[in-house]
Amino acid sequence: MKIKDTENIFVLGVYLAMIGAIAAAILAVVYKKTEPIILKAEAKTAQEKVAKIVPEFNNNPIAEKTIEISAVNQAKKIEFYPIKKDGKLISIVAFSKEKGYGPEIEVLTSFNYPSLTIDKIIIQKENETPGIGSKVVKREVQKNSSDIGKETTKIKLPPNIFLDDKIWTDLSKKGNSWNAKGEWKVKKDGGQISEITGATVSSRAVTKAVYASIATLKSKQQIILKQFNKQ
Amino acid sequence: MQLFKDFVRGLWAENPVLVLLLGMCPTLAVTSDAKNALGMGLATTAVLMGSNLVISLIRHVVPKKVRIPTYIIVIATFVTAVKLSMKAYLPALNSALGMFIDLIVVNCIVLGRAEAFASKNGPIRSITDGLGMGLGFTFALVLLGGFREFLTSGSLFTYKIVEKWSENFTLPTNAVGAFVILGFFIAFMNLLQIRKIKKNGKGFYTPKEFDCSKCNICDLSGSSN
Repeated sequence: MKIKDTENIFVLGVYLAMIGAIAAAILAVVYKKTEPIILKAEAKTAQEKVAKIVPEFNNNPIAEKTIEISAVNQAKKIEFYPIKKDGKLISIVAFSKEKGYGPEIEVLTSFNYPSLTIDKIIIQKENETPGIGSKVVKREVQKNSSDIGKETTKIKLPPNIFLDDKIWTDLSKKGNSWNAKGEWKVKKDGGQISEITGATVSSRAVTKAVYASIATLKSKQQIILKQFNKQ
Repeated sequence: MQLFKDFVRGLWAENPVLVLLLGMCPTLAVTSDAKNALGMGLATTAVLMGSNLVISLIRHVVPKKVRIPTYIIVIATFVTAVKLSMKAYLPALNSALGMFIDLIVVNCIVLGRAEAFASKNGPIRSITDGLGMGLGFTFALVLLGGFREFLTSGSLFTYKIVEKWSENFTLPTNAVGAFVILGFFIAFMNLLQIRKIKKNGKGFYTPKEFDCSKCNICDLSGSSN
């Protein structure tokens, strides 16, 4: 009897198990081979993303990072990178994660020093639905018909309606309790930040991540700044 | 000649989106602009060719009873491997395509072609079929994406074609608008098919399920005629 026409349930079971095992083996090999390269590539993009939202610097921010427990959610940790020029602290970048529509959105927020107000926001890694959630997180250059075929001049930080909203800086100037109570919300939830229509989940996630960054920085600024100035 | 037929069939006469109505989920979800549509289309084409090849090669050793799970495992393995290698070697392309790659696994075109074509034909014909179907899918997606993008923002492939185009018309960006526009496309496609049938001297009639005796929408809405 040929395997193609078999109806023996044990044969079929063994067959499926074998197929699964082969697939798993192939994936294991591919994963093992690509893992270090993926990590390296991600670290490189992280460096490039940080450079986009801060003034010129000449230290290695990611190597000098310090990690603090989030002031909003005890279970989460926020990373802070010092941005230094010639040994002097000029800016701070916070790295926080929040679950979006897809997997976690990783948000980088840069703060002016010493005022500690939000300067710029950029998304390091996201997997939001293209065309919907991506409107919240993607920064893209606006091109006109006259630009077709031309190499557009590289803009350091392309615009994004949601991330460039002036409300972020304005809110960070105001006083707040800087804990879970004073959390910023999108307008749909009765808050202050105008979300992108159709992408409330992504807007909410970014808002949460940014608030976690600033709340942690503000409430633990002495510890963090001491750490940075010591180095 | 046979190869050419296999290739062309997917492009027009059996276009997966406009005629076979396969893969509606990604079609509606990712065609909010032309660039996304192109990315999704090309990624699907690559996976479709690969999975068609593998399935066509193993078609003699797959038991009939468990062929569907086998195909799904093959496709999923293929997609994951492609995704991992893209992440490692082409991070820029990976971030541009984003979630599309994962979405391909659930795209029924891939499974549909595996079942309908690759499991019955040789590897070379299967690859050609994958290429044709993939490009047909890409064509339909870009057409739909271009329409939707132009209607919402007056731009194509993120290049603003019409300056000062109002961005207040948001219907085409969401799934409802996509359905409406896709409906027009399919209607147009059907019109062409009906004309062709009539030209060949055959009569075209509405299938029995669709005629007035089986439908009471007119009565429900109160318009009596």
